Amino acid sequence: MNEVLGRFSRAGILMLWGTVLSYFVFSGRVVSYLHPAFHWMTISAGVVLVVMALLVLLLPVESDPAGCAPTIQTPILLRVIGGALLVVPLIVTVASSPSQFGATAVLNRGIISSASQLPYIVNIPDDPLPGQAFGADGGSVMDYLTRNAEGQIVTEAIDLLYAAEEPSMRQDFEGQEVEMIGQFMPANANNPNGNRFNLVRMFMLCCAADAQPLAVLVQPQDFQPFPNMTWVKVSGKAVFPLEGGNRIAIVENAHVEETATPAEVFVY
Amino acid sequence: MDPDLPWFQFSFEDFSFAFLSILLEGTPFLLLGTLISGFIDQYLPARLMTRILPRNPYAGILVSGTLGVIFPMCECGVVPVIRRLIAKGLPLSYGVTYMLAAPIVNVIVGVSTFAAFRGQFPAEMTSLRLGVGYLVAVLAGMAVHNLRIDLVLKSSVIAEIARPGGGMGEPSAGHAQRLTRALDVATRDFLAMMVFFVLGVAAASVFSTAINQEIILPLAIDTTVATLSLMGLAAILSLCSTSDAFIAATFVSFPAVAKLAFLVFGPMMDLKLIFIYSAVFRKRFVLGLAVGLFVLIALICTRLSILRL
Repeated sequence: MNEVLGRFSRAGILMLWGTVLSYFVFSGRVVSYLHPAFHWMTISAGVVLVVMALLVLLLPVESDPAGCAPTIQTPILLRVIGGALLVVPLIVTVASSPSQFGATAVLNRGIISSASQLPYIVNIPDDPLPGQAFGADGGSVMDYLTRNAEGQIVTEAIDLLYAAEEPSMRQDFEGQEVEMIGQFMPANANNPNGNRFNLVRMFMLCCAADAQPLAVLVQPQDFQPFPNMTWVKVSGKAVFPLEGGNRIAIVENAHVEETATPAEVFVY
Repeated sequence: MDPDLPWFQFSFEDFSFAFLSILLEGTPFLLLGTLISGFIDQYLPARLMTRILPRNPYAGILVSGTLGVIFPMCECGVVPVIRRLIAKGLPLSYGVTYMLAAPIVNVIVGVSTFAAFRGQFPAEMTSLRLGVGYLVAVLAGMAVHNLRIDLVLKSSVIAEIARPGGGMGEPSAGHAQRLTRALDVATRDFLAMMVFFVLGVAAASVFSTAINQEIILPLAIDTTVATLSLMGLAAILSLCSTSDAFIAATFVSFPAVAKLAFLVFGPMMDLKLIFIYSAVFRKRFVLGLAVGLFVLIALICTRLSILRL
């Protein structure tokens, strides 16, 4: 009787995990949690777990001729606690997870406002060799960016952070009208007159747990604060002044309006 | 640093988001490890490993440290595998060496470290990571070689070793029967490991979302303090060894040796691993291993500061 109960509970837990992993991929929620490179692993694991659950139900293992259980023998109470640990936190977090970070995690992680703090952009030379930078041999970062109906460049916060660090890229963006979306957060640095805010995007390496908030400053035409982490669309002029000895990216004279949460809340 | 920001501020929504993302990323690796462990249990002939590896224990430990190049495993998946291998007759010291080295000494980690440190001495950092990881794993394996098995392994794991064949695999059993049993072992291992994994991920998620991480920045000034701090951070963040280099590379204000310590210590000992190791090893051994690795890696990495990377 205990063995039958055990078999059903094992199959149930495997089925739950397999269903959750598969659900995240098929529903598209996984894009908010994992880098695309990992999606195939998640769905593979989900399918394997569902198959394992069915096999555990359909193929009862014959009693061991050596008279020994195959793995760790644990008291019934510990098995119940272990089972609860595998079921309850998963269900509760799946039901309650908002699929994006709130202001608390962003503030605790610290907002990155310089590309030198990001991977892949360390030690940018002030004078890149010919052919090694955008614009050096006729190519321009503008060739890779699209424009909206008003002719503004549709870009991301991360592009302006890179432009602040890289002279030829900065030259391409300087004074250009840009449009981008991000999340509103108050600016505690480089904000002497209190009329700027941070436009935050989360930059993911592998999964949301390692995501880092990066931001450019926005100086609106008429500053009106939004609740923290509200998604906003910003359009204005990109400038890169030297402030406090550092080159920073600002979208000034900006028009700001609330917008819907994008399909992909992270940049990769 | 924002003076108004407390050092600890918890949001359940942020916690659940980070918690699920690590589970979605890590579960496939742990599942792979337990599936391999099931097949090892049923199909790997007992004592085969001892016949293949050198009989001299020190030579065996040295070779075990390189097995990750042929059989790369991440730190979550490797634990159920070595549990099965030990039950199949792999000497404990070889198993511990492989367990500690495999998540670092493999091609995937080498490539990701090189890519992440582009512009920050990538060749040197990659070589040092693999080299120091190997050295530490070998030294730990040699230390374990001198310990009694009952001081290291849980009694339930020792009971598995004591069984004939070290598992359920009977050469006389049919293929279908062995496949079914392999699945059964994999299932039980997966569920047993997942309990510890869930606990570890929960702890890591609290720390990665609720602790104000800017409090560590003033620690970057002194090499020794920076090294110890980043090792502590590695233990808290519980990152996967295939991706932790991308995080380490962003600690631009920290000295290179501190980042090296982060990259070597993290895959060997972190919050989630403490829980996962506890499924196989005695608590006292896990604690001793954590302290020993911390001291050894800190000593080696701070000594390497003479390289001035």
